[in-house]
Amino acid sequence: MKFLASNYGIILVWLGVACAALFPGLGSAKGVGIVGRAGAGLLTEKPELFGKVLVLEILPGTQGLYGLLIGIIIMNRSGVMGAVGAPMDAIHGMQYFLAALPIAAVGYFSAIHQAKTAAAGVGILAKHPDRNGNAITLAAIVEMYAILAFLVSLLVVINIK
Amino acid sequence: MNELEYATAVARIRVHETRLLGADKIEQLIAAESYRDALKRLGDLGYDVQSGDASVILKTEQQNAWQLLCEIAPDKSELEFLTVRNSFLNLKAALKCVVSGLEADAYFCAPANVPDETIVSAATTRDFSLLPEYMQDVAERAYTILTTTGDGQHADVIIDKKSLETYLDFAARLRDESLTKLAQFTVAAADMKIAYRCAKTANDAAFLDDALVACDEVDCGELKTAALAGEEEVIDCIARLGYSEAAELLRTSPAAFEKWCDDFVLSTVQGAKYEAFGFLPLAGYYIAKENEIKTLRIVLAAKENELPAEMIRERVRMLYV
Repeated sequence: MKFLASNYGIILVWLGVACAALFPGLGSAKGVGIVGRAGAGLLTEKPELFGKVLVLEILPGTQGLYGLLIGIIIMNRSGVMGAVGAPMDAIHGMQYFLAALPIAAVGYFSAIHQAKTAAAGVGILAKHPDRNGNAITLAAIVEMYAILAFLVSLLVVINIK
Repeated sequence: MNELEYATAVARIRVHETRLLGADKIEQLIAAESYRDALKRLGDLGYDVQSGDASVILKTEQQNAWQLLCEIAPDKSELEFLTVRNSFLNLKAALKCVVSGLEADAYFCAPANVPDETIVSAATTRDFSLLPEYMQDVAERAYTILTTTGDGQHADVIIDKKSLETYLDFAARLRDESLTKLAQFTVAAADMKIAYRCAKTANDAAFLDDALVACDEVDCGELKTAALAGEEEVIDCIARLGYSEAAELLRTSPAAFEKWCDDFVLSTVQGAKYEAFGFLPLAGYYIAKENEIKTLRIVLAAKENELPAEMIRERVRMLYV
């Protein structure tokens, strides 16, 4: 308990890093899997559409990258990466933790929803292979919310004094 | 089952949906100069017409569609919804064949969720515990009726009723609004047909009680009263129950009513084309394929008998694509 009390700030920072990397990563893994399954179904029938399916499958993977970036930036800005055992008060620790939440939550859910949209887009490809632009656009619109969350997390992290 | 598990299956179904025949393709077949020409055109549309026999061609096509579903469905038990009624038809055939000493195989429908051998074995040994629980009692009762009174129609009626009740149960288990509606309408249509036929043949109230199946779409009590009163009363009752178009068609011809029922069934699963996950797209595809095969059977039979194109068009079912 004494250890926790004296390292409360640093624990919160690491918790923020973990959330930023973990949840969007989980969402992306699940999302890429969903689109991958739909894509595998389509490629069984039409292997020539591999390139178009690949673009759709990649889309839900970006949330994991956003989370990873925020995690790295938090580690860098808070000083926990370069200086092990650097002092960190609870207020600052809490600020870093809260900064990670937008990308953690939005990244997770948007990856899954984007995957569902992209998997539905695989259905468009199945019937109209020339309309892959429509399928990509529909899935990419979901991406916008992950980008917004990424920007919020980024702005909060770089403005913590 | 998690509907996302169907992602692979639905993607494959989407490709196969593009191979379903649309109204323009059916029109090409109707416009064919002869039966041979129609078969040739069907071959150009992707059917295997090497046998030159329409029944073989269509049976092979249905088997291929079913094999596809068996191959891709992540939960095979859900497919039973599509085949359970065939198992009851096979039960009827097996019991009658056992009682009359015939080979049942020739009368069996495929696909069925209960293996043919199991049904034959249960009927020949009278060990109905071999059958699924939902078939056991009705099989016992039907067998007793066939061996004591020899009343084949009564045996058919109680098996048909149990078949539709089981169909409703299977639909409810799927928890899909469209498939529940499909099952409810199928039962309602069966009730309407039963009431109309009973009115024509002047069956009694006890027969109607054995035949009519309770469902959400129609009031069986009202249908029963109407059936006991006469054909016109049944048609009026169907109109009162909200199926005025069907009632008018029934007044015109039973064939037109049958077509309306088939079209209504297909319209309930049209939404499956826009579902990205779940069992519904698979069920929708198979129902659409069955409907296509039924339509082709009508067209080819009409071509073989050199019926005029207008007469064929009147009987052509609504198509999925």
